[in-house]
Amino acid sequence: MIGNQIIYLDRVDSTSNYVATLVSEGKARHGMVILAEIQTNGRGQRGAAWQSEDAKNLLLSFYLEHLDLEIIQQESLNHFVSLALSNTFMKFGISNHIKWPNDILVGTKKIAGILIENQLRGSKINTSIIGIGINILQTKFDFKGSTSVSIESNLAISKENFFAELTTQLNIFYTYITHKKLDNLKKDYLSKLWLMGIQSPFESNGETFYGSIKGTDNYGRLLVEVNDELKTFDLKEIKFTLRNEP
Amino acid sequence: MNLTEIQDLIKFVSKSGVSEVEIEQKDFKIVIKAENKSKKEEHTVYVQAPQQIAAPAPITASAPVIATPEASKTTTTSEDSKLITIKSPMIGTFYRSTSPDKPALANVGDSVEKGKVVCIIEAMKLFNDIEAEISGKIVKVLVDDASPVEYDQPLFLVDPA
Repeated sequence: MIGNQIIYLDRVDSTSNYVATLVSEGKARHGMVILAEIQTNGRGQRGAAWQSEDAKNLLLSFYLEHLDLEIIQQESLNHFVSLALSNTFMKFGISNHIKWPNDILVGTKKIAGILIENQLRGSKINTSIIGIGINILQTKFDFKGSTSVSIESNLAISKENFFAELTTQLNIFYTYITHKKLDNLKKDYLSKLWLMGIQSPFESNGETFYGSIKGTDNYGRLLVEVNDELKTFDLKEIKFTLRNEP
Repeated sequence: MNLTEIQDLIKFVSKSGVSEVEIEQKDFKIVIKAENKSKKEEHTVYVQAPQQIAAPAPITASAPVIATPEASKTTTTSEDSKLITIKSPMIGTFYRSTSPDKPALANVGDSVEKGKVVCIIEAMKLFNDIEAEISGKIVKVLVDDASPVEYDQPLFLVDPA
């Protein structure tokens, strides 16, 4: 079960690094969660730092073993974690969407981010370290494309309340993985996908164009219909350019 | 040690092919060096020639000049047959380090053990640690950092241990 063991740290470089160290020492257990008040070197995607005001947000990583997923099925990890997050926000009355492949947006602003690191054994994904950062109490951001639970809700939602609901949701959606109901997971994911089926502006190779997201292919790449033609985009090949900042 | 014993020792050393013998007893020490040392050096250089091609060390003796081209040829053919390729198990982006500020996980000349992470391949924001399937020494890195890779594309050449 995810959250059967929780390690709470005042300060750590990165919760995912902490898990990786436990793994290398043979001390990591399936479902173990590391929570930190302060991350001194929080990581986002590939060198992008995950910045968080001290102690205001929920920063955690958890460890999964015996995943037994084929490489081609790895997209399911994005699906299950982003759906669990999305549903947690819904439970607190915060409408949201999943921005492909795995950011959580409220309107056009990011409220939570996910960093998944898999360890392969042969042709299978064996274990995974999943890091999540959720803006909870922070109200001022350097980057205006960010928001938080405090900003989006009138309820006083504590980090503890949010964490309790999140672990419930993670366990619910994880059963899709263990029962190999990956198609259901993908269907749910696409139903929450930001700009799905909506004509929207994108950028690729410096060119801007309008298109409509139709879903993802087997590799998790984005399928966009542009001028009646279905095109496939890798992460680096497409940018979302829709911004409706006030 | 008397003179006969010393003569016997000298004969033994010269016949055996041993290049140097040192005997130290109470109040007595003898060092015998073989005469044909220079010939042996030539021979050694010839044997070591393949390694010296990889590391461009200056070779002073004349013999290696002849030995080098021949040796390099055999090296290439024998190495090609025994080298093992680590291939990409997926479509994605190849990264040599866990993050841009970190050193490469595996460099040319590094010894890797089976199960050691040699690179990261990212696919749709999923970061996958790719492990070496065999132990050995990295001979070549075939893909540049942060470049796209296809399924089954060769990433590293490994000389198995």
